[in-house]
Amino acid sequence: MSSVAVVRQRQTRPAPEVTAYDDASVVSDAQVGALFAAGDERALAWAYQRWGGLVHGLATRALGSSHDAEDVTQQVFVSAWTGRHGYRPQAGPLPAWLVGIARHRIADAFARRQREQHKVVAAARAAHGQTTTTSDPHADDRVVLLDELARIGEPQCEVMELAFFHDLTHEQIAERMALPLGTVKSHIRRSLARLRTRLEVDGAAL
Amino acid sequence: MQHCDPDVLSLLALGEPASDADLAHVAGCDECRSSVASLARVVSAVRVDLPDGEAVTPPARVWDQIVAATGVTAATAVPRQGIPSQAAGLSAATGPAGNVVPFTRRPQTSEPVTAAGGRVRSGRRWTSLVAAAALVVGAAGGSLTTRLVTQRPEPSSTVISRSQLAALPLAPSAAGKAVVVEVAGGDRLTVDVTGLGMLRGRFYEVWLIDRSIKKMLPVGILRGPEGQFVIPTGLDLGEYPVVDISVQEPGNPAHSGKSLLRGTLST
Repeated sequence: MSSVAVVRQRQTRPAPEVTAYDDASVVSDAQVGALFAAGDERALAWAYQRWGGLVHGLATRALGSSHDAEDVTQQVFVSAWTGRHGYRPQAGPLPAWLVGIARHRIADAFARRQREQHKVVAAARAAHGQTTTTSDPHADDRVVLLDELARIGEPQCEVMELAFFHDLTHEQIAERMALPLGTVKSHIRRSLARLRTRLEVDGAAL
Repeated sequence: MQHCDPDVLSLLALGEPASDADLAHVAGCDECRSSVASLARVVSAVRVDLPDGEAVTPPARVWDQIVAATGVTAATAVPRQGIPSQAAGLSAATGPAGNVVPFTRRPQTSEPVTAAGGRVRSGRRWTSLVAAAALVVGAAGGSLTTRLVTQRPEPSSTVISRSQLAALPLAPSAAGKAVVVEVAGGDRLTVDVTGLGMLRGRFYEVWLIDRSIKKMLPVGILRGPEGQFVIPTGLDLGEYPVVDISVQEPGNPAHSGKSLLRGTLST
């Protein structure tokens, strides 16, 4: 067979043959997502295998290569697993959902650090009259707001979770949660107003 | 003056689009503008902007803690390295087609390109998910079917030709080299690249091409920074001296025309 004939034959084939796989590699991302939602334990391992680095990358860039970042990565997968009933494979890929969870956990970690810093600052003031400042203008607001967010009941809490951390539009939230559009808009309006009020009341107290 | 619906102001604060009429009103109304601003302060304090970047492999203890906290048993042996296998490297990429992040030499997971992106709406940006299955639909070819070979060249192998791979305009920061070794079972082409990213819905293919760039022979899919391929028996490398790496769409076996790296083998 000449080389030219080889070329012709190859170019009419639908796809190159691939022979080397292990079990995990033939499972598509979508299948991992579906198995995850169904509670298949292998899917947790596969999800971690595929997206653990994605989540940990976000965490380490936000928090530094630290115990906090490891905590966040761990929390994301643990809460994704324990909250897997909230993941709907048809609504989006599993890694997108993991990233949404990671955003909330990272924001929580920032707030924890801010609280710690306030303690340190207070101690320093008491001891030496010294103060330090934070470079994040939202840091104090965040402490108050995440605290308040955690107090909002369902389904408003899930609505805001999806709006804040999963970046979904109100239409997408309505579709995912099977709620009327007007209901979602109303939840968003009331929840944001509640958070704003809490900020106005408590924001200055920190 | 009729003010905007408070629902609209809330959605604006979250970054959702609004009608031209609402936007025009807010622009000219102190009360509505101030309301949006105070709500936006809430939104921007709650949301944390996370920069995009490369995946970072967590230490092994993180998985141990996950196992301990969840009590899973079936899975505990699997992801010791936190790493995709060859096929998962491409299939696990999570961004829209065309976005890339660097392959890395170390174990890593999927690509994070858009995952952490600012206010781009994930519901839209994830819709381009392409099942990895598209990549694994292989057709049984003839006797000249190329195969991915996982082993390194045997120590007794002899280098018969090599080439640096130069970046083409589509991938200006890429670089690489190609080496052909002769082993007992026939010739093998090893390709080593840097500066290429993982892809979703597309893949890299390695080709041998003649000097006139008319006859093109696909030798296999490149799944990571390094790939090794069987050169079909009887193929005259003198006739196909150009090593080319292209980005391909599933389902189209012909060269896409989108070459990223290229070099000419010489002995």
